[in-house]
Amino acid sequence: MRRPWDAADGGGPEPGAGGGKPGTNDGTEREAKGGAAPSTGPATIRPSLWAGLDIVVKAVAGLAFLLVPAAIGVLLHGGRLELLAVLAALSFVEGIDLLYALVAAAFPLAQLAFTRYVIDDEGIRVATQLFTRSEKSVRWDKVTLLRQRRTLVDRLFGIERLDVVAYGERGATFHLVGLRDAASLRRLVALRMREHASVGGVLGED
Amino acid sequence: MPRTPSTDFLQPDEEVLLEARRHPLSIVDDLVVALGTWLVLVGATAYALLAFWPEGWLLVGVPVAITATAGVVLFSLARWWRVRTSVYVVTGERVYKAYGRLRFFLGQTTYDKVTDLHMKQSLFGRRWGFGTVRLETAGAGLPLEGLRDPAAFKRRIEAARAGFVHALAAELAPRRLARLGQEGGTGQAEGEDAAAGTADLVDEEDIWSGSPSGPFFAGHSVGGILLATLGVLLLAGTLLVGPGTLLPGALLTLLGAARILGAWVQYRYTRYHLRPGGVVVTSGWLTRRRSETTFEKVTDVATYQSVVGRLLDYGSITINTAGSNTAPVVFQGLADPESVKARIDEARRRWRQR
Repeated sequence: MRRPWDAADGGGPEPGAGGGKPGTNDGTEREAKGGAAPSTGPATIRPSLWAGLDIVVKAVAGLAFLLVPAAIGVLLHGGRLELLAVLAALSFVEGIDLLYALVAAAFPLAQLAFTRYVIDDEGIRVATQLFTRSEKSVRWDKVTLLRQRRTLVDRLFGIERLDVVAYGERGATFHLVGLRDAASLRRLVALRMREHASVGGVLGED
Repeated sequence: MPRTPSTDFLQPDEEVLLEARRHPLSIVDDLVVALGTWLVLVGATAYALLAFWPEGWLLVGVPVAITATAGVVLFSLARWWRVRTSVYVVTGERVYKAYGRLRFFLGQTTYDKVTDLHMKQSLFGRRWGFGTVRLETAGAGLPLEGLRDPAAFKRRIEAARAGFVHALAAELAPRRLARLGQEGGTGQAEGEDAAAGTADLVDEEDIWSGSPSGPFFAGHSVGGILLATLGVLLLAGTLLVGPGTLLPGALLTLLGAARILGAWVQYRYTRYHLRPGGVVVTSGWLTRRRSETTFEKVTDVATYQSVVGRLLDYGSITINTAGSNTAPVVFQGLADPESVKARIDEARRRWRQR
């Protein structure tokens, strides 16, 4: 079956090909580390699936934090038996929460497995094909801001994320998650932004 | 941990014009907010307990106070760390903002995207000499908080931006002249270029035109057919069980028929046009609607196929534009949307080369 990221792939690197681990940014690294602005065809990036577990960790940690006051209250108010009973109840609730979070994360995880980021000379594309099929693209000259971020959970899994912000109130912000080497990708996008810089917008504003 | 934050995020060989760190006292603004939140939370809890449940202070009041205090302490520590690790870098081409080690944030923008600069100082900032400079872009802003002497910093960014624009204009001018020379341009081509972005799309010939596909009509009619069928069954039921099902049956039949009619009108009377300067959608049967946009305003193009769309091979293309007042132009129900998007991409490419 033809996939969205196959459309303009040309001779670009196949994700995970050549023995590369899923989630590695082989193609992007190849271009970005060159320093110049080579145009060697599109690079396809497969996001790491660890990014999909973000929701699970956050849900469990969030609930644990909310349950702290309850545990303190019981400790101050009741005896040891009540505390044990309440802790058992809290553990049960936490277990339910974990199950719920796992179920809630299942769809984003599956969606992530079928998502690719495609970088080419024109711009950046985010293509997803699971049950539905979607593709969003933005040209380099429309990109205004880059945000590279790493949360504690990302750190745990050795991944990072990059937000590519484009023009307009309703302009697209592409949240690229699960990147093994976001810095190289950011440098490449910054390079492309510079190549497509124009004075028209600035002089128009001035 | 190094005391001086690292700046290894710069582009290769990028020249640093200015590097700045946050004023240590700029944490005060954050602490005031944290203490205010703590006071409101603990105060509201204390008031509620005293007024409605005086004996509950041990079970609720103390835990809330302990948790809120722990939260404020953690928040303050995090903010202190952010202040300590923050670094702002101004180079000849862009501005960077970074902070954090385990958690890390890096924001950057290029000068040609910066539309305006704002400077702001709080009460404490004015007293101790720090403030925020915010770089506004059309997409989002990049605030640089806690800068020493923010007015001077803003002037340095403005100077760097002016230098970048001059350098960029000098860099682009030869290309422009070369292109005009190739076109034998004496200003005529320039005028054509200027008009290209804002040309009235009415005057242009279609590169491609199309309409919603038959399968799209079929897919969109399914819901209506189901509703109408149910309605007819209920109407038929009036013969067996009496007039009780007459009204819901009639309503469902009308609703289903309206949906089928709506899908048919969309299928029959909607036309999509791809032209050298932009895209146009005309629609409507009794009324007429026309929406269009030129390529210069297009920010991004998105395609989407639902599950039914994938089965029947139709999908939509959304052409987003800058600005909040204009709705995106949508080509809905297209057969083989990928090939139409490829045509749009090609037309945009050609438009840029004009």
